[in-house]
Order: sequence, then structure tokens, then C-alpha cells
Amino acid sequence: MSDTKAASSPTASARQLARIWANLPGWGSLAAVNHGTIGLRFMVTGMVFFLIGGVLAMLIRTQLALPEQDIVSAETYGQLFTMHGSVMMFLFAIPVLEGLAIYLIPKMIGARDLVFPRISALGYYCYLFGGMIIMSSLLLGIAPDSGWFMYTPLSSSEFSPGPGSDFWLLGITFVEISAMAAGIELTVSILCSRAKGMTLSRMPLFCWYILVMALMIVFGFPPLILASILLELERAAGMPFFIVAAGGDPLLWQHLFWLFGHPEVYIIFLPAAGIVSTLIPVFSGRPIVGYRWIVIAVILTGFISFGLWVHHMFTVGIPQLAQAFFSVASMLVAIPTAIQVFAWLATLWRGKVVFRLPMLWVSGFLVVFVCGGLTGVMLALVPFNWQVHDTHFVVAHMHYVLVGGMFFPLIAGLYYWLPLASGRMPSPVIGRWGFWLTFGGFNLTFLLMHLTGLLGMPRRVYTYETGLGWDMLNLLSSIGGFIMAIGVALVLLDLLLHFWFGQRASANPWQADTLEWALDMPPAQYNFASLPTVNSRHPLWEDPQLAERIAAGQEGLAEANSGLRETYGTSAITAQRERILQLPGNSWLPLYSAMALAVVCISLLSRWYELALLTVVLTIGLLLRWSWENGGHPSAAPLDPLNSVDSLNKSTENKLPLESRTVDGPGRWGMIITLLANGALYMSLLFGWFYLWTAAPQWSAPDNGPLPLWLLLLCGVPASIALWLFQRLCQRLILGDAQQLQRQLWLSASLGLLHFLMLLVLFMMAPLDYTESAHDAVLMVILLYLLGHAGLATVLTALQALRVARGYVSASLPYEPQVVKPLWFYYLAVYWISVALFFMLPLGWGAT
Amino acid sequence: MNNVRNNKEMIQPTWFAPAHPAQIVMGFVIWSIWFIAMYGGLSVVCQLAPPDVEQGPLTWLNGGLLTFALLVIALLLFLAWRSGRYCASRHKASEEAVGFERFVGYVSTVLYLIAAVATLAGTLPVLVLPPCN
Repeated sequence: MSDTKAASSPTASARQLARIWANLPGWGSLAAVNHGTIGLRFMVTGMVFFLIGGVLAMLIRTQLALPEQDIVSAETYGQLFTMHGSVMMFLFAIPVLEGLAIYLIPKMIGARDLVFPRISALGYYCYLFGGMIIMSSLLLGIAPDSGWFMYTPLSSSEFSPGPGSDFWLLGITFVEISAMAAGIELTVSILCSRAKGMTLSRMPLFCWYILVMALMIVFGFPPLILASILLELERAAGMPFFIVAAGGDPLLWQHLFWLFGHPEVYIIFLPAAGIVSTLIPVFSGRPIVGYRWIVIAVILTGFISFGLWVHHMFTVGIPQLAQAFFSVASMLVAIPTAIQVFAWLATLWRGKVVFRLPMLWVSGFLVVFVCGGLTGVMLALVPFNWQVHDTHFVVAHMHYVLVGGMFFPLIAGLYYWLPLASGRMPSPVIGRWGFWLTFGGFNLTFLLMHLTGLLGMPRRVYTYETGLGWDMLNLLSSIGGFIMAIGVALVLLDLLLHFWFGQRASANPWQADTLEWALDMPPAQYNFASLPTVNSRHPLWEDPQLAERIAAGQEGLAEANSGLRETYGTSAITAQRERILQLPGNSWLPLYSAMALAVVCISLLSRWYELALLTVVLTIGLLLRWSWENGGHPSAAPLDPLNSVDSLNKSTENKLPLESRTVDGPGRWGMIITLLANGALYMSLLFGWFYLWTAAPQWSAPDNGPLPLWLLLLCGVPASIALWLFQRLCQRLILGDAQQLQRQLWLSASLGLLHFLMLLVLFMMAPLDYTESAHDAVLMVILLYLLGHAGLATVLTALQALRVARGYVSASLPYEPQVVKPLWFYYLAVYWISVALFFMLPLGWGAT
Repeated sequence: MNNVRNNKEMIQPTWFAPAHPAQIVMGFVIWSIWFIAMYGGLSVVCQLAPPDVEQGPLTWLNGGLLTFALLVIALLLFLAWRSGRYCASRHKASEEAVGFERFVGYVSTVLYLIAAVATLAGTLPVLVLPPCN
């Protein structure tokens, strides 16, 4: 039951909420940050990129339909398959699923928005601009052509001297900002803003899947970000990380890429499986069988998928024991997948299944994905893997897993949630035609491709001789590809036409159990007129009046007296309301920041480094300006203490503080999750360092380190004292003691600055031959990494001191230093580990 | 009020206690550390002091890897037993108060057990394959 009284006038409250949550009109909508708007933009943009990727696929199939064709040249063909893979993986699959999650998660967990709305908007613009930059290379005829995995040395400047690889490296890294933003934001939102009573054991399965996917993004993307940075540094500045003669190793790229690349498959699969786990119970009319086992399977997948990457590299000459090790791990990942498949089948078996349109796509998923999973187990076996490596068999397997495991559930999900977003139902006739053509065309294309591969046809060849036994199979695959394209076109047509011609949907048209179906269709920008309390896993099945109570303002936070966007902050474990989160409204800062980053990207592509440097400074300025309007800033949270409690709860003891009046909250969680991602990047660099040491054929290290050890140790002293001071002032703030707060912050910042300057001097005096030696190039990167973090910690501490002077941080506003504190801890840990592993340990290696 | 009190009780345990949700991921965090140590250790030792290829799988390195894995498996089984015992004790309590705790206990127990099995499966190749060949 709700613990709040009904709002005096639900209509007036709804009008007030609508005004507060509205996007700006006209061009002003570019400043929108609301999760509904951003989620839809992600999905629509993703579908546009999907169409482009699909056209590229059709060009590939046209070229391969008959032997010895020269419709496109070998060079163009290289660009086509590279861009097809890159677009589908980076610009379609991940963003469209992120968009779906961004759109749905707050609605499912009973919140009004994600906890960092401006980050959502920044992520979208980074994705949009990054995607446009990558696509522009195709229009200019200078697209990358080394494959979507960009193996070195093929993608290095020696063999790819044009700008194609640079477009990929810079563009994809730009797009990855968006993925990381979504990963961090979704994690924190799910953990910190669920409806009251929605404990982890009552959370919708879709949210479990998204939580694990988001954490996988946090840990999985940094290796690729690092690899892209290193390769771009090699190409632009000559730092030889992947060049054998200078002590590098091209296999390092493969390791870093697949450290990302294999989890990436599950990052794509898990949200799609989450859709399946949501839809099957609804259309079976019963709760899912084995909720706990599915949670176990999802967590299991999240971990094990990070231990499989080497199975992409079985042919590169890895010791047998290591191969067996990864082969076993690759087979183990079938276990959690099987758990889910059996749970879905058991639910279908025990339910009364209604085969509406979304279920058709779910059925298609089950067939196609299970087939793809089985060929995956085959590929985990080393001898078989060697036989079919780099053949069309692998291409067929990959498409069975990705199209079956992602595209089919995605379309099922789109059909399922379409009435929620538009208020209208799709056409069952067009939809069924679309499904059967897609399903038939897909299997004709890719089932036969297994045979083409077993007959020895390699991947990435732009044509083939006749008489090798591949002719008919390729022709049929191409015909299947075009049938599939017609099916997809029908689906997209149906999705488009239903906005005008679809029947009006009734409330909760599928009789679903989750909270999003308690909303209006289409939902208001603020989602819930009042924020619900949840007492079961199936709130709408077990409390049919919940939707009415929400709409009538009888649940929590029905009024918005502060005039700001508000939602509840809840405890991560027990989902108890702990604070009120006042969320930022429309803002141009995300767009401006993304535009500045786009200029950085373009200026790096054109090797105009002065402009790049200028825009980096501009971007930092914009981001700091953004950070200024946070926490206790008047535009972010009113300073009037009367507004610091839930207006509806004033008469009770249950008064909730604003986030800025507490010492914990989403901001702090966001910092910690960001640092986990940062830590994954650092660990990847550490891996690269040890990998080059142990595996690079011509690795060499000087007898003496490039920097005096005692100076490095001395340099760490002021930073350690700064952390101690910062930690102490945070503890005092928690106890309500703000005496000399500003002075302590300035002192801490000064020590940070001293450390930064000492490190800078060390960096300047280090005799690093970074263009001739991979060893020195890695040291150069680690020193730059440390400098960047030391500078950031110092600047943020100085800003805290300024904010104390403005009254944004005080004994009653103790929150912000608690957010900055983990950065200091992280930096100090990384500094001392780096000194130990990058500078002390090598002294024991001797010259090798 | 009862709910509030019970929820407060749920927050009390430290991350190491069987009631804490951190236990849900702890099994595979341990597995991950074992995985990194095993693969990383193998690579480093093969670089610095590779055992004689003629010895086949019966090398000090394989013996070390096996011993390490058995210790990890023992730890995981102990933690699974502890979580299982906790879960069973929660079964005796009422549904309303301990549904979440039971969930944590059950999921943790299964994940600890699977982590132990995954560790064992990953270790088996050391019985038949030479380490650095």
C-alpha cells in the first residue's frame, strides 16, 4: 500500500508534471534529456544504420551470387564487409538495445527517468556524430577495409596507409563513449532508483539482464578503447605497440580486441534474452519457471563470457594447455544458455500459450539461436575450429547467433512494446508475412553457408572460381538474402504504417505483469503520475488496481512543488526510499560537448593537431561547466531547506532528504562505476605490458629504468598526503563538521598540484624513445595516464573549494566531496601500483 | 514498521556474511581471479622457467596449477556449504520476512557450486597436456 495521501487534484498535478517534464519546442527539442525521448532517438537512429548495413550486405551477396563477378572491386569489397560488420555491431546492435533499455528501464522499475539524464543525451549525440563520421568515410570512398576486427598489422599504417583505419579507430572510440555512458547510467539507475519494495528478488527479469549487460559494458569495452588508442597512437605518432621489430606484437591487438569482442556477443545477446524472458511468461499466462535459475544463468554468462576470448585465436600458435583451457571455458558458457532455454521451454510447456505476433518472433529466435549455439559448441573444439577457421562456416555460425540471438528477439520486443510507445497495434497480416519471409530467407542464406564453409570457401574473398562446388550454394544464399531483405522491409513498413493505420490499443493489451503497462499509452514524459510501491514480482497481475492508483496520484511523490524533475532514490538491496533525486531538465550542454568532441575527432582524422588541442581544452571547459551545475548548485537543487523533504510526507516521520543533503546516492555510485570502467582500462594496459614482456619476440627493456625510482617515490608523497587530507575532511563532513573545509580543500588541491608538477617534470626529463621501442611507448602511455588523473583529481578538488565559497558544499550539503573521494582513492592506488609494476619490477628483469 | 525493521536487518551484514548480496557474485569473482592467475601465471612461468618438454604433463608447473586449483575449489565448496546452510536456516523463517535473504542464499549457493565445477573443468587439461608446448 502507498504510504502517502492522495494528491488534492490529480489533474492539476498531472498538468504541473507535464509542464516540468516537457521538452523544449522546435529546435529546443535538441536539448531534451528525458529518457523516453533519448531512448526512442537511439532506436530510430539504430534502425537507420541497420538499413545502411543491410544495403551493404545485399551488395556483398550480389557480388558473391555468381562466380568470377566483378560488380565491385576487391578493394571496395573489403570496405563493404568491414563496414557491414562495423555498422551492424557498433552502430546498430548495441545502440538499439541500449535505446530500448534506456526507454524501458525507468518505466519498469517505477521511476520517472534515469538518474543521469544529461549523460543519456551526451551518449546519444556521441553515437550520432561518431556514426556519421564513420559513415562519411564510405561516402568518400576511404572506408576502412581491414575487417570489423581491424587486425594488425593489416590495419597498421604499413599495410593500410590511407585514413580508413583512422576513421574506424577514432569513430568507434567516439561511439563507445555512448556505450560506456549507457552502461554506467543503467547500472546506477537500476541499483539506486527502483520502486519501493522492488527488492533484487522482485526485480523484473529484463532489469536483471540489463544490469548484467550494463556491467559487462563497463568491464568489456575498455580493452577495445585502449586497443584503439594504442593503434591510433601507433599510426599517428609512430609508437610501435604492434610492431615486432620494435618490441611490439600484433597479437596484442587480437587479445585486446577479443577481450572486448567475445563479451560483446553476450552484451548483445543478454538484452535480447531479457526480451524473451519477459515475453514468454506474458504470452504463456503464467510466471516464468525458474526465476532464480535464470538470474543465476545471467550472472554466470556475464562472468564466463570474459574467459573465452582466446577461442577466436586458436590458430595463432598458442600453447596446447592454454588452448584446452579456453576450449573448456567456451563449452562451459553453453550451460547458462541451456538453463535459460530449458526455463523458457518449461514456461511454454506449463502455460497456455497465445501465439500473437511477438511470440512468432520468439519462436523463430528459439529455433535459430539454438542452432547457432550448437555450432558454437562445435567451434569451441580446437581441432574442428582449426578446420573451419576463417571459412564461411564461421560467418554462418556468427549470423545464427547474432541474428537469431539479437534480431529476432529485438523485433519481438518492438512488436510487444509498440502499443506502449504509440498507443496503436501493428498489423498481424503484414507482420506475419514479414516474419515468415525473414525466417525463411535467413535460413536459406545462412544454413547453406555452413556447407559453403565446410567445402572450404574462405571468408572475405571478393570472388571465387567456378567449379569448386560453391556456385549453387552461393546463388541460393544470395536469393535467401534478398528474401530476408523483403521480409525485413515488410516489418519496417508495418512498424511505420501502424502509427497512422494501426488500431487503437486497449490498456495493457497483452495482459502483462510489469509496471510499464500501468502507464498511459503513449506514456507521459514523466511516466508515473505518482510513484508506485511494489509488493511482488508481478505487480499488475497481483494488484490490478495499481494502475488506477498511480494515475489518481495516490502513490508517492504525486506533486512537484519544487518545480524540478523528481524521482525517488532507493537503497540498492532492499529498495527502500532513502532520498529524493532532483534530476536536471532540458540542457544544451550535452549537445555542445558532443559537438566539441566531434571536432576533436575530425581534427585528429585530418591531423590538424592544433585544432584538436584547442577543442580538447574547449571540451574540458564545457564538461567542467556541466559539472558546476550539480549537487548543491541552485539550478540543480533548491537551497531552501523547506524543499528538502518529500512534500507529501511532511506530516509523517518519513521525511526524505534531497540527494545533496546526504552522503551517498547515484552520483557517488556513478563515480564508483566509472572508476571500475577506468580500472578495466588500466588492467588492460597492465595486461598489454606483461603480454609484451612475456610474448613479444623482440621485446627489450633497458637495464636501468628511464626514471629515478627515488624521485617517483618522492613524487607520490604529496598525492598520498592530499588523499589523507581529503579523506579526513570527508569524514568530518559526514559528522557535520565543516570547520576550515575550504582551507583543507585548497591544501589538498595544492598538494595535488605539487604532485602533478613533479610528475610532469619527471615526464619531461624521461629519456623515452617512444617511436623506436614498444617498452618506452608503453611507459609514455602510463605516464600520460597518471598525469591526466592527477590533473583531474586536482581540478575537481579545487572546484570543491570554490563551491564551498559559494555555499554549494557545507555541513548541510556534504554530498559532493563524497563523490570526488573515490577518484582520489583510485588515483593513489593506480599510482603506487604503476610505480611498482611499470618502474620497480622491470629493474629485476634485466635486459631481455 | 515490521518491513522497515526487517529491511534494516538485511542491510546490517558485511559483504562477507552469507546474507549479503555481494555473495551472489563472490563465487565467480574468485573464479575470475583463479582464471587470471592460472592463465597469467602459466604464461609468465613458461617465459621465465619453462619445464622440460620431455616431461610431458608431469611437471612441477602442472602440479602447482593443480594444487592451486584444488585449493580454490575447496574454498568455493566451503563457501557454497556456508551459503547453503544459511539458505536452509532461512527456509524455516516466515516468507514475508526473509524472501530476499533466501533468494540471496539460494543463488549464492548455486553460483559457488558452479564456480567450483567451472574451476575443476578448467583444471582437467593440466593432467594430460604439457604446460608450455
